[in-house]
Amino acid sequence: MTEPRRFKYLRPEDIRRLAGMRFAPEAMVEGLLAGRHRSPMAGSSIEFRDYRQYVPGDDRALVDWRVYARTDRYYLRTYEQETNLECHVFLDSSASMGFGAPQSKLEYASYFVATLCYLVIRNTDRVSLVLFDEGMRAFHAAGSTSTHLGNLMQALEENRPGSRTRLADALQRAYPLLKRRGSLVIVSDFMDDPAAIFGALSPFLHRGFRIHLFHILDPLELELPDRGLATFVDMESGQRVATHTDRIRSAYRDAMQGHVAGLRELAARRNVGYRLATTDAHYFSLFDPLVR
Amino acid sequence: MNLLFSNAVLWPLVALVALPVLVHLLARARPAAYRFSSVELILRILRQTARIKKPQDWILLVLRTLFAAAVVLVFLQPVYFPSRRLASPLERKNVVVVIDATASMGCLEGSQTRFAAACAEGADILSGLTARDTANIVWLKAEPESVFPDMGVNLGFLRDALRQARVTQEAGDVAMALRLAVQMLSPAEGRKELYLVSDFQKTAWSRVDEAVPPSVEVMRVPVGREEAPNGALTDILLEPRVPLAGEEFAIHCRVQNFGPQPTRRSVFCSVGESRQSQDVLIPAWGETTASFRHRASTPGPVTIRAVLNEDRFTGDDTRWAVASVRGTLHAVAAPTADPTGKLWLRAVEALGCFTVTQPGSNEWRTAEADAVLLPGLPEIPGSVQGALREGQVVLWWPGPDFTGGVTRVGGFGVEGAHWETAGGRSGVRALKVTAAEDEVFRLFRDGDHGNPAGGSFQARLVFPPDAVRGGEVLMAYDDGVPALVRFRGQGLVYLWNLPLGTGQSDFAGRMEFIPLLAEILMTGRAADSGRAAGEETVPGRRPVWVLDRDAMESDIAWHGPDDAALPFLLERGVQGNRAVARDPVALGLYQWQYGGRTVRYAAANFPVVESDLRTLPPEDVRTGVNAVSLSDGARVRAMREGVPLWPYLLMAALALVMVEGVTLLWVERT
Repeated sequence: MTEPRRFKYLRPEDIRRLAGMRFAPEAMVEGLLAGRHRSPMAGSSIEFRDYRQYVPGDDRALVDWRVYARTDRYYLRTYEQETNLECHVFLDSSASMGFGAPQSKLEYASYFVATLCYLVIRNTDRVSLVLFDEGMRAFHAAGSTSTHLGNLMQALEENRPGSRTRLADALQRAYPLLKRRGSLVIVSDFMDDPAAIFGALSPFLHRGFRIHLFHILDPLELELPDRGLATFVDMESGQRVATHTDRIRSAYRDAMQGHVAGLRELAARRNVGYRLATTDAHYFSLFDPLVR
Repeated sequence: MNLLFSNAVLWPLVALVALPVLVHLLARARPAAYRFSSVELILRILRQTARIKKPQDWILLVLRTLFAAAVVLVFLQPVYFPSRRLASPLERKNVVVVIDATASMGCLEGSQTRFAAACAEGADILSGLTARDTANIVWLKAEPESVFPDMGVNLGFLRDALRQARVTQEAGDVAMALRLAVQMLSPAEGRKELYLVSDFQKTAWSRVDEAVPPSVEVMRVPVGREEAPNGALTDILLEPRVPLAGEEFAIHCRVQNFGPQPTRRSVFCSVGESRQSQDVLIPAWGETTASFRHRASTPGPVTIRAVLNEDRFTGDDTRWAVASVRGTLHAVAAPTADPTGKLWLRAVEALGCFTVTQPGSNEWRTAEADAVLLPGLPEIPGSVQGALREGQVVLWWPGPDFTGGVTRVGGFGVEGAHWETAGGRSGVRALKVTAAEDEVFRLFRDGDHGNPAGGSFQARLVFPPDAVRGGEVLMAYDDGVPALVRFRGQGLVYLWNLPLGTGQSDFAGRMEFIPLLAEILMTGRAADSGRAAGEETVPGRRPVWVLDRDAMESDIAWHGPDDAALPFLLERGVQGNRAVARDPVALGLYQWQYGGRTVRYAAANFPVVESDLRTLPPEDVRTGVNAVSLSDGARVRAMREGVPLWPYLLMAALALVMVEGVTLLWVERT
């Protein structure tokens, strides 16, 4: 694979760091191309899978004569069929993702998504990209070429924070567009109803998608800054609320930790991967569950 | 409610009370705005805390507003007048303070007497007066008197009078004191206020029903709040009332308990030089008698002093009496030629303990006689009937001409009788005693003095026993005709049907005759108990001696308990002369002397009505519908001058600051 062109969210130093990594999510996926991922479909390949009893009509070349010599019975060897992965990335592009300085959550997430897309394509796997806020703003179907990668990078660079967060709507709209199951990576600040989110994820889980949630927060969202009497303006709804931050900091911290814990618990119950990251930590730590 | 503001010019400061509200409303800061990813969590938190926050904010707002109001009011210096009944310091007032100086006010409560407390209340009341006001003090005692003859302006003199005043041992004339006070207030111009400062003793004030004009404001200021138990000597009685020299007589000291608990007391009785004591147990609210016996060897006055061991109210723990011991008893006998009467006189004179006088036809002064002998009179004279008294004995022999009769006074007698002599149908008659247990026959029970029913009778009055009205037959003839009948009423009247003349009976010659006669005459003494002779008075009175002779002032002297000579007045009038003590007496024994010799005593004893120290609730005192009860004289001043509220407001402001601080801590914690 040739080196990608220089893009804002795909830095050469990050590419060099990715040299030793291989995109390898744990779930079994379906693939058309012969990639490096296991396919649940049995076929001829170099990797042994299992024995089964011979029935009339089977290819005799597959009979394992050593087993026959031991048991006087006819057994066939079956082999794994390698396919290529599809990774579907959902990037939250709502207004709330614009929070944070000097680097907003959207920029942070964009770096991660760009690097992830590169990694997937380098692995000869396919990656799709969905940009969403209160609905699906952009959908880039899965591809694995360098041209496709370039298109995704450009889309990321042109992406700007939008309106309210409606992840559930975006998932529902994207569901019929995702023909093949694979990995579903959702990068968001999850400023939405967790029950609605996981309700929208249920069809994906049922189809066998391997889902990873990457919860991106600014440190100031975990611990309110001490600003005394301040008016907070909601970036999505424009709602204003004035309060003494020192009077609610403790309660806010507890509430936010509760929200995170709630998401984590729901994810654990559904066997969904969950990872929290703050924008003050390098996004490379987000790759831990995805690479080898 | 009446409120005045001394610094009313500072009223605009009231606007400052709105300051906390304005700050609360307007000082909502416009804080800096920060864009935040989502305020949903913040809103949720604020909704949860609002339930606590809002009431806290309101509490703080209220506390701060109240604090501002208290501070502003401190500067305005409000003065509260509890009542508009009293004139303000600016109005002209006429004030009479009636101060109870009766004996009960001498009761000690705490460290001071009720009277001292009353004088202090009076001083408090006067302290609220100004130079334009007039005032006076009326002392409530036996003869109420005022400090000034009329309303006066010299308040300093009145205060001095209060400081120097002393409680009396007198009972008070409440009605007169009220009338005196009203009389002084009537012509006054301006507001009229009458203050009654008293313990409102129940025995004295429950009878008061004196109407006070509606133009006079009556204030009752009670002193004496304790139901002080008290024991008192309330009377001294002698039995017999007039003892004889050599005769033992009883001294009964009556002790009363004015308290809710039984009490044991010691009674000491001093008679002349002798002294006796006795312990008595007196039931709650009851009385008992301590009895002593004494025998005076010579005739003359014998002073008796009874003392109760001390309690907190000592005025009524001593009592005086004088026993007039006589050498002989006194008998008055009607002049008579009747042989029975003559024999009576000889027998009475032979007794040696009687002095017999025979008055003229119209000089029946029998009131002081111990015995009245009426021989041969068909009826008891009306003057004798009217003068009968307890302890007096009348011995009446109706005589042969008696045909019966019932007295006007007492309604006793015999209905129908006739004279009978021996030789007639009855013959010689013997006697029998029909009431052997009677006291008349006590001497004869041992048999040493013969048989009183001995003797034989040839003549007698005959009447059946049922003809006797109101009497008891002590002796009778063998045929049942009454021989000796006693009528009990005021005194004892004995109907003597035992003729003694020659040919009538041999009774006069018998040894039993004189003892029987003596016993009859002496029976009256057993019932003759009562207060000793001499005048008994109470403190505050001025004893009077009605002279039975024309005397020079220099012949008369009036002496007090310490034997000091006291002033008196000699009044000569159409109805006779009398010596009157010039000054009211205090407790003790006084004596009138004539020619250097004591002729009459006056015992000034504590008025019993003052011994019951229970008080009446002031509201129950009937002094007109316009009266109000106050707790004390300080309240009078408060009503007149008002109560400055600024100290209380300052304390309230400080308290509010402290409460606000505590509330802020609570707000911080929540």
